[in-house]
Amino acid sequence: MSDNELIARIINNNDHQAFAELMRNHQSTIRHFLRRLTAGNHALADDIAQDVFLLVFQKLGGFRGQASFSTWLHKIAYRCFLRNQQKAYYRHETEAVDSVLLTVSTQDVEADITVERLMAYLETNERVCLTLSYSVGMSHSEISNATNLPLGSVKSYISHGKRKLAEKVNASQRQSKREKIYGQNAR
Amino acid sequence: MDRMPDNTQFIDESLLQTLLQYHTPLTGREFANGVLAKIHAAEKKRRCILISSALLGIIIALLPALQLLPTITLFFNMFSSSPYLITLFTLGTLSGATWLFVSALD
Repeated sequence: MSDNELIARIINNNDHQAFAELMRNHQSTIRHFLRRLTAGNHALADDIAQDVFLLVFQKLGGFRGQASFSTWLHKIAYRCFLRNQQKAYYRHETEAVDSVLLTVSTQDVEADITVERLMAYLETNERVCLTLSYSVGMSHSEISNATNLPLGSVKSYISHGKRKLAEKVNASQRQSKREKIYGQNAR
Repeated sequence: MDRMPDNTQFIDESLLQTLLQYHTPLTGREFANGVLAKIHAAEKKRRCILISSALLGIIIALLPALQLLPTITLFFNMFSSSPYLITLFTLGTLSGATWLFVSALD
């Protein structure tokens, strides 16, 4: 069943099963998005994601369908994140969760964790714009619509974010090369 | 002479695409159940508020019909004896109304 059909069922019949299905379709993307924004704080990201879906259930009647449902959902998620960002415990929890997550061994999971850790080096707006552009696949104007940032600023944040990521990735590549060389010399 | 490697060089677009994609889908059964439980709780609370408001409305509407009007008149006459009483009554009513309004918004 398509998103629009599910939304119609939720609005007309207050259908919780339809909402559960809609949530199952989008929860992974939204939770990933929030994990990137919180730079790997999974507990906080999931708390915000719960608030996002509660809000979506209440405000679904106001969804006009001008943008795609995914864009609307990301817009709400971003607003909820901004509201939560003010809380004092935010930064402390990020560090605490990071150390636990490093014990996960699956390669793909590690890739996700690495990216989440890399996000810590970026400013909030750079994280949002890069993630929406490269992970969600939104166009620059869609990002501008979802974040209420001017189109020029979106492009600028993406460009700055890419440069910072390049610095970090290049630095880590050089470090691993150096370690390989020293490792060979030690033998 | 070779140029020093530049840290700020742009990252390869395809590498960035691969790096930033969501690698693992997150399973959502527990997550969805948690959200649905919260929705049920909120709806239950809202239903309780609606029922209590309706009951309150019915009681207020029935008071004159039950010929309790003189008692109500007496109740409001109390306010003329002290200005503090009307302040307390207004504050209480406002707090109640605010609580109902905020609960309905939750």
